[in-house]
Amino acid sequence: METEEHLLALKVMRLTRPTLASPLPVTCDSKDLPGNLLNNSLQQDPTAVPGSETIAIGQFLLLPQNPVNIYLGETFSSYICVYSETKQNVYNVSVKVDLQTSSQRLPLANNPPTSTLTSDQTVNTVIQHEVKEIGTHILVCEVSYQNSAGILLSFRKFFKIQVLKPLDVKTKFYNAENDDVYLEAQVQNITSGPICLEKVALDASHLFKVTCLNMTHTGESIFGKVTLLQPQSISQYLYCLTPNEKLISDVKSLSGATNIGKLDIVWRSNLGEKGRLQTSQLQRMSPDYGDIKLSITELPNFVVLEELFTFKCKLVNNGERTVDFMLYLENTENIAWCGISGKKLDPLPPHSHKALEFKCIPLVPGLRTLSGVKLVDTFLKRTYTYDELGQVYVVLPEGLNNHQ
Amino acid sequence: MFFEVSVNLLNKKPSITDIYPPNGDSDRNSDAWLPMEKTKRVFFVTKLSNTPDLEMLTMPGVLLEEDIEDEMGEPIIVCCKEAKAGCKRGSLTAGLSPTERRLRELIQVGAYGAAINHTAALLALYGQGRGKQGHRTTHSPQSLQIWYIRIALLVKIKSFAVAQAEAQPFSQLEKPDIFYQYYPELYGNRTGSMASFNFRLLLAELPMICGKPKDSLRKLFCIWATIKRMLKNLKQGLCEDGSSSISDTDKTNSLKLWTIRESKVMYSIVNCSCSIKDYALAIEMLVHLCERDGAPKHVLLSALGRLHLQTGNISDAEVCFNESSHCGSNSVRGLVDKGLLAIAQNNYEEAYVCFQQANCLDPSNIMILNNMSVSLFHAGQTKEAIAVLESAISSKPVGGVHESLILNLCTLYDMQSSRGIMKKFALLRQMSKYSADAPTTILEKLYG
Repeated sequence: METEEHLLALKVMRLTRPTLASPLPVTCDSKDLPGNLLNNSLQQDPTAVPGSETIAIGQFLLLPQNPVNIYLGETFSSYICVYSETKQNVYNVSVKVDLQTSSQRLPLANNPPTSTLTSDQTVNTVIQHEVKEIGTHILVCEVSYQNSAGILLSFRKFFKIQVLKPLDVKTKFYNAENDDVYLEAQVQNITSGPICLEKVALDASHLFKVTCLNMTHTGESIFGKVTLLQPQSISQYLYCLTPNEKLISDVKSLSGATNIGKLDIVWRSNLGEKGRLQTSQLQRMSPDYGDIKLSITELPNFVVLEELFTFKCKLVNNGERTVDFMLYLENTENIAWCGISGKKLDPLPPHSHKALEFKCIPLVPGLRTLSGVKLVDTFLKRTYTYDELGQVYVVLPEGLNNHQ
Repeated sequence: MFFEVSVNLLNKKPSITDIYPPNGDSDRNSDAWLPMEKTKRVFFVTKLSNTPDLEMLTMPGVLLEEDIEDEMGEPIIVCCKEAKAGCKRGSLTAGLSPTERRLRELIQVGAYGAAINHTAALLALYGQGRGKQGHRTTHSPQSLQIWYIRIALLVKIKSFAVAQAEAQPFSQLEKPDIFYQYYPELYGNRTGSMASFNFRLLLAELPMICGKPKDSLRKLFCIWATIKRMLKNLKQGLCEDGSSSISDTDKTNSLKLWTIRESKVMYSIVNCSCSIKDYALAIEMLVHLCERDGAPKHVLLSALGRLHLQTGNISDAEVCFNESSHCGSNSVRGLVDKGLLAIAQNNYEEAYVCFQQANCLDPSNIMILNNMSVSLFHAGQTKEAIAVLESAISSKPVGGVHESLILNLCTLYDMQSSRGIMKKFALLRQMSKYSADAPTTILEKLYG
């Protein structure tokens, strides 16, 4: 605490966006008792906007009269004014401003000293800093100067700032069968006022290619024209990530590719006050593929009852040795296979894959599961059964449909 | 766009005929209002000489126990006596009997406190003065006008609690005794509301003004619905309440009047949605207003642009400002909008340049000078910012001594030195010379 008297004093004001003042519109008709008196007084009001006096959306800048919250990702800006409290001149005035967070001390300003400060002069400093930590921050202002006797004096002032969390971001991942990853991100506004989300984008890691699923076919935002988010409201975003070619061909590293990327969010609030947040690296659960993986690469959605159709699969050997497979096809009540069961496949070297093609005939209409494919590792005598390879919707032949 | 009704009277002093024109179509047009079913039933009952329930009657009275004294407190009396003397200028000279003419004069000089005291005296003549709330009374267009002025002025001086309490008996002006139909023996077959449309609108806005904007929103939408019903009748060639057909000229005039009033209600809904921060509704209403026939598009688009700025939507704001200038807004408007846009982008230097250019075109505009000053301050130049505001006040004291401008100046004084208080008293001295009433909020700031 400062007890000694100083020749200089210091004032600090946080600079937030001004507000737009407007008058309280009270109007009359010429038929009313005051005639146009109230209208005239409104028109003469400097805060009224000519032509739209009765709309309370002003243009007259008013400096903030009440404290405003500061949120993580916003820019903290302050005006620091040092003025003289004496009639004497003061020499070599320097102002040093630091910001102390819970983890570090950041220098914000350290101007070259003002050699002479007369009684009616001031030293003005405007600092700006993008806040990157939540919690208590202390603004430390240190003023040092020399009095007329040349004695070096200094004092410090501290200002406490509480940085709040502006957004709550929740994410969910879905690993799709075809190795795509879907990311669902919920962005909730937990500030006290409405905000406008200027940008929500996924900066994917280099292993994935991102498709943003928040646009319609015509390129419009699915959220409509206004991207305003009321307090406590949530906007939900969906992204599809496709692993790059190199990654797809190597199941081990595909399985290990858990770093998805970062969400980059930019918002604005009152009169353009800007905030920006980047999430930490988003991690998905690594999918467990095992050494042998059989997955569908091509499959029609709709097939016709009792008509032959084809689908393709990819067989991957992720192990360290060459594997010999026997392929068995077992008919089920839904499907009859068309091909040879008990066929020996060509040896599959380690870390390689091959394409397989299957033909079959659907026997029952409706949504049906492809099952009955079996692979036997002839060396280990181990059997891999695939009873849920994929699904097709079996429709009736067109002629039959029309008769019904 | 705001008061088209009165635009040709703007430079003319209102004469008695302006205020109380002879009965005719214009009266029917402007007085028209559709009573609720419950109210209509009372008209029928009173025709059979039955007295309606007390709860269906409007029984207002002045609640303010004492005349409004000027707000200057002790520190001022000590520091600058002339301020108090100045503020007394508008008060009612004792011995003069209250008249509507005197009331108008007080309003004209801006002595709202004294004018409010005057309304209390006038209402006493109608039996609706102090202590009369809850007593049966008879209403007339004249008494309701006085009430309207009283409530409006109470709002103007920010005595919101009193305004709300005294306005309470009027509810939404839907009770039967506010309609001409209630007094067939006095007004014959005349129908419609004795209370003016602006009184109705003010009562609907009152909750918003007093911090309960949601209540206002409901009331404003009710008013809008009634106007829509009347406009529908008019478009079918019927009079407002749909009871009989009217001439084409009459129809044109009345459609014009009620379309303007509809816009007024829609503006209020914009204001109300802004105060509950439902910006989506405000934007929707403004877009709707822009699309109406004969709408002052450039003004509305500029307002929409500023609304977008408030929400932080810079790109849409820019689109609106551009459209506004295509629709013929003048260059000062364009420069001010550009300056505000620069502030939204945190570029106060550029904002200053825009406001300065606007200032060259319109040097006496207080708003532009103020915005220049705020831009200077944000760029770290308090001294220059103060100089701009002080010169604004000395060049145009009547408009310059404005609450918001004073608040800005006081903030700057506070910033610059511990001698701010002396400068504030100097300001107060200046204020007392030019305005009859000192707004309370300023006084708080000045004392602070």
